[in-house]
Amino acid sequence: MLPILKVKDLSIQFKKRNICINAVNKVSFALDEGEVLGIVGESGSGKSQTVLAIMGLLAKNALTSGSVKLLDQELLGLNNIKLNKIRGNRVSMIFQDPMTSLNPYLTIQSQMTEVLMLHKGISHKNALNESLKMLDLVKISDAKRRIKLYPHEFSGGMRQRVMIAMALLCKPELLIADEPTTALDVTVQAQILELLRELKNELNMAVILITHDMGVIANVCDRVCVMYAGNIMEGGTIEDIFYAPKHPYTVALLESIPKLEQDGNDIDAKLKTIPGEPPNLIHLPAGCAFQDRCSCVHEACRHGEIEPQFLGESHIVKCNLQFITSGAVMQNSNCHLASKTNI
Amino acid sequence: MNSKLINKIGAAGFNPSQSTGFWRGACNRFCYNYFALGSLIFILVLAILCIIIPLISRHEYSTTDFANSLIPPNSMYWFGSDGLGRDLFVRCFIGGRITFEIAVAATVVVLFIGVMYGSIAGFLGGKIDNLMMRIVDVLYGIPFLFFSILLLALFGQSLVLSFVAIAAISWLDMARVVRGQTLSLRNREFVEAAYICGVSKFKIITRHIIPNLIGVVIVYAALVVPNMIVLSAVLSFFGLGVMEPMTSWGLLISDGSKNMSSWWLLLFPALLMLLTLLAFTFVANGLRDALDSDS
Amino acid sequence: MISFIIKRLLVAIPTLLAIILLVFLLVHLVPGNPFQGEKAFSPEVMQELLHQYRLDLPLWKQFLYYVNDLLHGNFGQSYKFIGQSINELIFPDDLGGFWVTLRLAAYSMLLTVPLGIILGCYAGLARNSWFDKVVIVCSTIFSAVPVIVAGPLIILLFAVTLNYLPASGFADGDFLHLVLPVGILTLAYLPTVLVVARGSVIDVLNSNFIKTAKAKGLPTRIIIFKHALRPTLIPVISLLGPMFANVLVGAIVTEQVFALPGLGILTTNAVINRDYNLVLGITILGSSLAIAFNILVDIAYFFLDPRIKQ
Repeated sequence: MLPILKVKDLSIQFKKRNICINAVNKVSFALDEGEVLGIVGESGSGKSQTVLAIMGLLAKNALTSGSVKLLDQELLGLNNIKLNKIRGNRVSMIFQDPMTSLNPYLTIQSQMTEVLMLHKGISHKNALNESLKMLDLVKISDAKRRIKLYPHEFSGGMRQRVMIAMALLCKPELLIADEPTTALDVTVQAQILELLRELKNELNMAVILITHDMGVIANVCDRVCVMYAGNIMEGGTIEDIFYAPKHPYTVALLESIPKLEQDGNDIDAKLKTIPGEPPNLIHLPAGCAFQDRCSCVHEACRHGEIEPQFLGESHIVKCNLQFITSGAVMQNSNCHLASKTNI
Repeated sequence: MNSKLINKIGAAGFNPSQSTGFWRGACNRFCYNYFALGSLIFILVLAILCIIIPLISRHEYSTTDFANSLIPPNSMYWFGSDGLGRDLFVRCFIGGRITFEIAVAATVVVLFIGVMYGSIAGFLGGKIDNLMMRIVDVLYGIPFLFFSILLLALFGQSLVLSFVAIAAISWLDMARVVRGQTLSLRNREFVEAAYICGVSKFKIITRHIIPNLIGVVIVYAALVVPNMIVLSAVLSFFGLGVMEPMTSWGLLISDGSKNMSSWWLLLFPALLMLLTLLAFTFVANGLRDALDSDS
Repeated sequence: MISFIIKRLLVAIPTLLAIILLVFLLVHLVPGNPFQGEKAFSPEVMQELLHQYRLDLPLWKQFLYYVNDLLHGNFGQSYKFIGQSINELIFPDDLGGFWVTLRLAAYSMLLTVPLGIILGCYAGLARNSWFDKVVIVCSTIFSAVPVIVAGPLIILLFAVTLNYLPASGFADGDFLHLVLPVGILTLAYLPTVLVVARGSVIDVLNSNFIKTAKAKGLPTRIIIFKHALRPTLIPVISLLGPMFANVLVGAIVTEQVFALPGLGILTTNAVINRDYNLVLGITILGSSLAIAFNILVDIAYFFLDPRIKQ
């Protein structure tokens, strides 16, 4: 069976005058029906640009290469008219900031029905009924009255529910959620995530969830891609990433999650951070993008292209370390991998 | 918690005008804007010419010579002569001198009142701010030209006084801009950061707020000067302001437009004023771009 | 809706009153009286004149009488043309005075607003194209050049040198006599509308809700006309209130340049003749129009932005 979405070697560059920004570098992943893929990374790691490329919503000065296939249809390079038949219909997207993502000048009704009338060609009355049903589904009570309201009359969490309802109107095969909970209160975050999980099961759609919150990933996702400076550093199932991380970046990322319970006498331990800053996307270093911040950096990391390596069925790592003898790593006393992993 | 937020706070926690070389950077940016730099040089050269030419010219701006009236431009009268046989070249520059004097004097008054009023309203905030801005709103409702005409008609005997009066109603925009800037500065993170660090209120005002106001004020001043030049010209058209035999660009243009068959009477002063106004616009644009530290 | 208008009026009325008081005081605090001119009146005649114009009353009584007159739509009597009311001067039966100014201002507003919005939006949609760049350069130049300079130069070019169009005067207000003044006035205010419309379009197109609309797969036509147009217009509309007062003033300046018999000439004569009551009347008329227009703009705002209704 074909995967719902198959992204292969997707690269994105932005040209600005004579400067070239390498936002995304040869990203590949696939997504099956009913699967939730999480993409984590710092800001500027290219996660948003990756999904915008899938939607065909990149800025005009973007250059893309590679392939993005929705079932058997190539999406990259499709013209707007054809893309518009897919966007909002077969692939939907919800954005980070529900406060500004709804048009403040139009009623919810008008913003919802237009999607159905456009993609399904149904009458306004039927579209209204469908919209009301969908609002019920995302647990907005008193939908009949509220659908006539303007976005400013809703709270943040409610607006995000409306956004989700709007995205799901056409029962899409794929839902892309770009940091859907970042702008919300923690309690509302949990409700929205729970809602997304329920709806995913109900509609049996694939979901891409972008976040920088490892907790969200652990809660909702089946598989994870860890992105850094435009590269997928490590990809795998939740178990792979959380219990057997292989890439130094993933390890460092997991260690920098603040923990409530401290083990043993380590009460005074400071929050762990990753020293240094992400590389400049205009002048990426040769070799691994993480080399300057990596505690296990090796001479081989500074040359040539790092090829992704498969470790098992779904676990993939873009790192040289897997091939370096444990001795070489052990010499580098700073390396936190040395003690934890069995390479 | 999230690196984006920290970056944001981190960047905003610093006072942009305090960062090393902000003014030098702005100066560099301005100098690389050849249009703006050229315009500034043009204005300076013109201002110097306006001072020098009436001093060294062989013609006197007020000497009439009926034998040589309405002579088209030639080697004797570079810009031609007017109906009373006066040399237009020297009159253009003496008129320029008066125009610049009026504009600069009015701008100084506008800046003084505007900055004081705006910053006080912005600092104090609350009810006083409300009241002060209400007054500005009321004054805003008056079409300024009638008011200027009224003031000039009332104080007409003294040119300087009347322009002080006109400046006294032209500060409204300046006050609004400065107040807005002060208000937003007061709530900016770097001011809060300074406050938290225990910096005294006086120091916050002198070290953080005023340096950040200067940029806006400079850009705005570059816009007020041409406005005042235009206003003085408009009033000349209403027969107010400078009196014969003294002249100003506005008066020269007004005279020239009444006597179109002698085209030089209109063309030269109009072109001079046109170029000056354009130059001021480019300088103001250049200053705005140079002082915008975000770019 | 009605309560909104009433609220606006309640703010506008004190504002207008304050303006009237301010201008009234300025005019009446001038030492001497308007009849101490070249020709001396005998004391009896002077007394009679002062009484007739109520100038013998205390200032506050004069003000109350004046406001009362204004409420009856009466701007009082001219100081110069004794026996003639200011209403007759400002609103003559034939084409002149206020009617000329209004016509000039209205025509150029009717041209400026749609043209500015269309050109500005088009430039903003085609950002960084050659059209956009040309429009930006032109509007920078036009906004720097005032009517007072451009007007005479254009008359020199079109009317005197090329002899295409009549240079000045109004004749019967026919089309050809209006082309140059209306054109100049339009060009003077076009950049303001255009630049705001362009900036507004760019802001709106970069906003998140347009990104949402694109993600919903809406065609460009619907995105622009249903989603982007209204938020784009709001900054433009809010600009129009103050702009109307400016255009009115601009029209008066234009009249001076083109020698049209409007409020401009009336003002000049009033100043020369020290007919302060006339200046007072014109100033108050201008202010009231500006305030009225601001209220209209607020009402338009009310219809455009659903968030104000609360």
